[in-house]
Amino acid sequence: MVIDIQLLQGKIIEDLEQHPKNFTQLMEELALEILSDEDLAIASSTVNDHQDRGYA
Amino acid sequence: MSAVLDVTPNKQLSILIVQLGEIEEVFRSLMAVKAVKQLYPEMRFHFIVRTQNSAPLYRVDWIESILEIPHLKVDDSLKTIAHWVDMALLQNYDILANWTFSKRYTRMSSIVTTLIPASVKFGNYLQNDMNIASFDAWSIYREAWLRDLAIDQDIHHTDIITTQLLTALQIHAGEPQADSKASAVSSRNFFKVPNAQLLPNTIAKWIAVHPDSLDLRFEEVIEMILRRHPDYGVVLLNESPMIDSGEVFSNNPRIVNLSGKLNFDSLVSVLSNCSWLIAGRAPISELANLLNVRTIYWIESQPQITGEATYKWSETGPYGNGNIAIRFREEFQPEVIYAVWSYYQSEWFHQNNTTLEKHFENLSLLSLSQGTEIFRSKIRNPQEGGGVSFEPVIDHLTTFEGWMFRLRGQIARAWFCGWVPSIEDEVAKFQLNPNLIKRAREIRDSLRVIEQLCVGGKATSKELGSAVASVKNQKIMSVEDRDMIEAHGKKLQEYENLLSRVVSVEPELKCFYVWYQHLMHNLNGDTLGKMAKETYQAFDLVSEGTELINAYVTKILSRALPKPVNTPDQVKPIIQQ
Repeated sequence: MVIDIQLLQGKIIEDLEQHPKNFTQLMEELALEILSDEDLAIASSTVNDHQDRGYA
Repeated sequence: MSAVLDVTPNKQLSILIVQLGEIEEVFRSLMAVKAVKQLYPEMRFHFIVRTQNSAPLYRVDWIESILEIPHLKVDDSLKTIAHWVDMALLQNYDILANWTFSKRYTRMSSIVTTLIPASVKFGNYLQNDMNIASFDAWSIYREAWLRDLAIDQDIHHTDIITTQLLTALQIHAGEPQADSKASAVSSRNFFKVPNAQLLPNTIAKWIAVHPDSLDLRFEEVIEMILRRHPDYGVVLLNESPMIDSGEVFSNNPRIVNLSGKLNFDSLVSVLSNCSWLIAGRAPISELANLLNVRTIYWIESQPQITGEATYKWSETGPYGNGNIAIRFREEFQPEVIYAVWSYYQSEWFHQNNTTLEKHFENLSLLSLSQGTEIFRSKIRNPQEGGGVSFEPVIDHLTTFEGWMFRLRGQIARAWFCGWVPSIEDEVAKFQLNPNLIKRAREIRDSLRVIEQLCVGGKATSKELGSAVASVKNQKIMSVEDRDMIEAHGKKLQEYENLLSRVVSVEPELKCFYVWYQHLMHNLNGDTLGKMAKETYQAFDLVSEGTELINAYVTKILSRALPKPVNTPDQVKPIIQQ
């Protein structure tokens, strides 16, 4: 049996104008993720810093 | 459900790739979009990446836009985020694919995927309860089988994301145009960078070496190459500065040490001028594959952990044709690396008239080759399942685990593409041995139990579906109806528990339990009836997987049966003339 086409076609979004229900909460979460990543990057400045690794 | 996108030939769709992972993930994503662009040149690609990984994208002239994750200050972080989301809102993306796999950035990329609108979405996202889930089957597969270190399978990460997007385009934009392959997305000039001219032109051919990802004995490899191949020079390309270690490198004009001295543009320029790269797991290997530079790739014995993403080499090894991957059973052997490189660099000359074993023998290294596994990468044609495959160059006995590793890939191809190779031909390639036969016999019992559980699970899901359908209102129902639905639910839970017990006895079948669990986690039906249907399909997929293994087991065991030999009375007498 091949996987149902609904699982292969991706999620079709009917109303592009409509924000997700928890839009504000998502933005707050994203801000927290970015800030904590920036903190981590400062704490371990050698890890994942491609500007010092020839990829920037 | 009706598709929002009209299927119109030559339609230009705007495709956003969310790739917040490490730089090697960015390179793999570029490899995937390169393949898609070749088949669908009219598609327009956009990327969201973290700032430190954006440089390569700015050097690809057909990428339409690059949106970087903003830098935030605590005081006005929400305002900055809102402004950033507004910029994305203006773009009107048709398709969004979140390809981030690095665990560290999974949540961030899932939030971005949820926030930014697009007509069709793929990859991980954040549900209303703020848990991470996946929109599509390939993303569920990545989370289920690639994330789990105990489940080894042979479909490369790049092939997974490429196939995901190609399938999406087949569904939403139709088949690619017949002449689309004519549009060249070349490899050597993939990145538009100026020629840095950092390699002296007195040397004809260059080999790039990435010492940081190799064993300390890499110096011996370089020494052997330089001693026996006067037309070659070596360029060292560590990301950080490298102190000259003395004997081999000092004042040798055929060794150029550019470690720690290059930015992205000059790195691409130098690497493009190399015939080979010798490296272990590192972003430079993915970059070399993008530039079509052949790679000798050292497989470390343990899976690598980079940015909290754990990689199995077969899923992230060197992509493309003609790359060589080498794994030592014990310690790193520079002589073997040299022997393998010297054999393959002269392929055009010997035209396969000599074997790698013979080459090892000529170098008096045959004994060393026996402690080594060597694989050559090949892009299979679509009739053979497509994608990159790592074929063993020196035959070894087929182990049970090695067979299961290949077989899991076949199961996935059956699920996703409905394609399976000829079992007869596949088994004919095996080197049968007592251990493989013994394990093949043993696994039959577990397969039989799983098959029975699937039969039960499917029947219960069907009953649950019927029970739900007979109830007029799912919120208001009789106590009897509620009890019956609950009983079916409990029974399904029991099947799942039993499945978990079977795979604890036979860990090689853990893949089925993990797959089932992930499909259940990602149920997207909004009614009990739809969820019952999805549960039925999950059991059906597991059942198909076990059937495929069973078919192989039957074929292996039939080949292992003792063959009758002629008895004396069957032997015809020889008549003397």
